[in-house]
Amino acid sequence: MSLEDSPSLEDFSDDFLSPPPDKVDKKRRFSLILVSLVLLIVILLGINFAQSGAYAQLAGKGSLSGYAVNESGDAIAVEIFIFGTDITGLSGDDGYFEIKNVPSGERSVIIAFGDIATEKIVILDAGGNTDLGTVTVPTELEIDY
Amino acid sequence: MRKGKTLSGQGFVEYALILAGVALAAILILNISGVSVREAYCKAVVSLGGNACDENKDCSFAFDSSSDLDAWESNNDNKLSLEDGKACITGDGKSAQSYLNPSCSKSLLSDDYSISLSDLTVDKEVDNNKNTGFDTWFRAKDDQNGYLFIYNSRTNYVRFWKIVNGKWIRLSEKKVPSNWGNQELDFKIDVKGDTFIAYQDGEAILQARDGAYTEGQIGIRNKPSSKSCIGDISVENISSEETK
Repeated sequence: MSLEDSPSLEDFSDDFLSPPPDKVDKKRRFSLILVSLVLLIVILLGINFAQSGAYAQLAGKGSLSGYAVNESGDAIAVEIFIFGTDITGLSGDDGYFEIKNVPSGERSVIIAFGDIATEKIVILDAGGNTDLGTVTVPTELEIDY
Repeated sequence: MRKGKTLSGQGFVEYALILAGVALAAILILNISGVSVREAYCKAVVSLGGNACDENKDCSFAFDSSSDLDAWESNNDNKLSLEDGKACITGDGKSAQSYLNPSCSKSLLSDDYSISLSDLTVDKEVDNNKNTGFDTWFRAKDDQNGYLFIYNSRTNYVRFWKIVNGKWIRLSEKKVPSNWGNQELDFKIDVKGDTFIAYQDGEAILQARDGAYTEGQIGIRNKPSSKSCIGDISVENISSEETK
């Protein structure tokens, strides 16, 4: 390299070396990552909670009612179960049933005559009553005991 | 000097916090997507050439020794009996007997699996007009809650049932040839998500869909008036690649 091409002293007026990394900036970056992670975890925990049974309990409760009949349309006394809960109920001899305090949301309602049952999937509104109408429960189905 | 050490220490703590956060986020994502942490871990181990999660260890039964009978727990403290390399259940003419296998389901990587039952024979043991046949439990909490694939050799039907608190909800059914009762049967039941498909001798015979039970034990069940003997039982996970 010729002398003319050499850098002048003015080229080094700022400094010879690039400035050292800013420790404050590094810490800020770490903090940003940490805060983002915590935020992500909070969101994921929220989704997990929304999928849990505890959320359904907090979301509110409703009731459901209906009439149970056999294949001939005659009223029958049945047992009612809400799948995934301990909630059970009985109908009267007139087939009418009403179950209160059922967690809202999509619920599977099992209506059983003896050991034979039928299932209804319902969307239960918090604070309201969901009427299943007349439910035909099989009574003459062959069971594979 | 003292200040420098402190800064270095803080850096490690921050790295550890980020690592822990990433791990926690990963677990939560797996949880939301329905993939078990164990499944993910075992897949990673297997892909690295390890065999820490040998899923077939507790789920393959050739019934050539009495040790193959130990894992099957009955609802009446009875044991399966070993006869000519087969596991047999003899009905008492009164009620069906279930044998659940909790250790097998625990060893599986996921709740999507295929149950293979080979060389099954069903004979009438008691002549009292009660049912004869052989059933298979899957995703069962106990012998009152879960799914059943049944073969009724008295009425010649196969059916999928959902059992809730001992109440029976029929999912699907099909009439089968009466000569099934005189031959060795090879059933396979594919349990994948909310879809269940039963095969006999490699041919699909019955399908059902239900999403109520997502996990639970596998098991076998003999109807009251029959004697059922089975040569082999094996349960293998169905991988997502297989079903694509």
